[in-house]
Amino acid sequence: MILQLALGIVTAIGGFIDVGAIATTALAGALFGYQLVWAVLVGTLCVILLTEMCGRLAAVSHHTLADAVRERLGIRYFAVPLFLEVVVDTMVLAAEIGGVAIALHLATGIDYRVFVIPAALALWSVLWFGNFSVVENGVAFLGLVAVSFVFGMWEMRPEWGDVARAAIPSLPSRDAAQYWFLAISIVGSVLQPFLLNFYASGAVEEKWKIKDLWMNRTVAVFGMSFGSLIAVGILVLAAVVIGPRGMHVDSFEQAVFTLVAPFGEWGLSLFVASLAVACFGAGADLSLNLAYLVSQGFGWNWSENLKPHEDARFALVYSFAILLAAAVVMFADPLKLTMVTMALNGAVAPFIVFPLLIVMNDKAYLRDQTNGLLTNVLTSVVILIAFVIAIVAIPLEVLGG
Amino acid sequence: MVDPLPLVRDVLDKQIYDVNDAKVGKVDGIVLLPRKGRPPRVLAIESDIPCALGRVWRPLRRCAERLQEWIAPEIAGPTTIGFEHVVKSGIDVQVGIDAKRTNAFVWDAWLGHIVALIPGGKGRGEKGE
Repeated sequence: MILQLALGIVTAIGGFIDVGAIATTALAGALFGYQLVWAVLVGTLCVILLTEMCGRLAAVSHHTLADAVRERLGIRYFAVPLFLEVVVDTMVLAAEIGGVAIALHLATGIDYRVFVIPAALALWSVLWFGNFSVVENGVAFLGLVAVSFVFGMWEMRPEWGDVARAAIPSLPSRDAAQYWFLAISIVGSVLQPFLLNFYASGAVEEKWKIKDLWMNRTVAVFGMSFGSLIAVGILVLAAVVIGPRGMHVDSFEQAVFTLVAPFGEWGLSLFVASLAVACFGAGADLSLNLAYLVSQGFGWNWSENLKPHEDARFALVYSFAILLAAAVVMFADPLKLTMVTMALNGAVAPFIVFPLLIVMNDKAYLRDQTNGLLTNVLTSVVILIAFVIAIVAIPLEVLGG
Repeated sequence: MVDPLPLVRDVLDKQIYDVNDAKVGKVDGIVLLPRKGRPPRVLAIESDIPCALGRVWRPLRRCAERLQEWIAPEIAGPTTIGFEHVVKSGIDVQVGIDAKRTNAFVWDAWLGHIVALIPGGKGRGEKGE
């Protein structure tokens, strides 16, 4: 039981850290010091609340979020989040494949485009030949290398009092548009809509039942909190190492210094491994989620534990998604793509969170496990935050992106 | 007196499972038979992507139908299950027939033949072994 719990927490950490979390927090730390720590915490609280609900939905009803939204609100509503999520997830997938390629570029010095096709092929192979356990646990365990950001933060001895004070939101003294753009990008990188349906689909794949609800809560709280600690580690390291040198994180080369300062020559290897594994793991999750979303939306047979010929439509969706994403990243700068897509993540969120609130109060799905008053109030606050982000994301993208 | 069945709430858009608990598709459409001077009779439920897309935006239906006919005209067409086979409805719809005897899995089978040609697409044992 403890092993299962540890596995769940490690997996949640793996799902939390990706190219978006690394890029947005490194940029935020370099430009605004510790000031945007609060944005990581806001995103984390939102994602804990929402993933717990998705896990509860799956454990009690054996339905995923996509299933329930289509069934409860009909195809006319479902078509909106389906379309938005397919577009945004494919762009984020492109950014993740780009992240793996950039990591290999940092290790070898060869142009990142050379590595895009091999990275995409490796990703596809893991999904095609592996099962859910290989994808989730295998990649997630390798992703623990990202804990080096936390050790690095400890090693650099930041002003802990200042870090703690940054947990309270504050107004910027300069570059307001860029500050708020980074704030919503950080929240968007943490509160990625794909995580919600992927988490619920994973719970169905692993056949969670009502007796597993305690595990769902523990994994959602501790897994996401540990993931958040890594994100704070990156932000603090960028604030301590990159900001004072007057450098800007306009490519991943500058972000490498976050680990070179505390670990010396090992820093580059640790950064390359962290970036590559985090992006690879998130890429696998995103590809699978695209296949889950479409298959569940149309009621097809789906499971990563089935051989591809047994659920051919499911397997072909993730195959095409990877192919398309690889083509996109060949022509777009991965860092710019990441920053754009993280803000868009926030913009898509309300279309997914709002129906979740409706489903979580439906006794037909949740029986006696429907949301309580406090959870409903908190979810309404998350929806409000998501709506504000959706409205300001595009203008801020133009002004401060 | 038989209990009324709210078709839109308890049938439309729900997941269909057959007698073997296999996923057949979603209820994308409900076929009604209009009757003079009497309420329409429910004939069948339909699982069909063009039908689903047509409910979102009518022109999408024709586009999806053309695409299906272009890819594999011999298998294009909706899966229709007589309403008398609907055993249970609620958050899912259970039908009392084996879906293998309908055309529900023709696209999975057709694509499965292509997928099986790719290494790892088919084979013995559990996936990931």
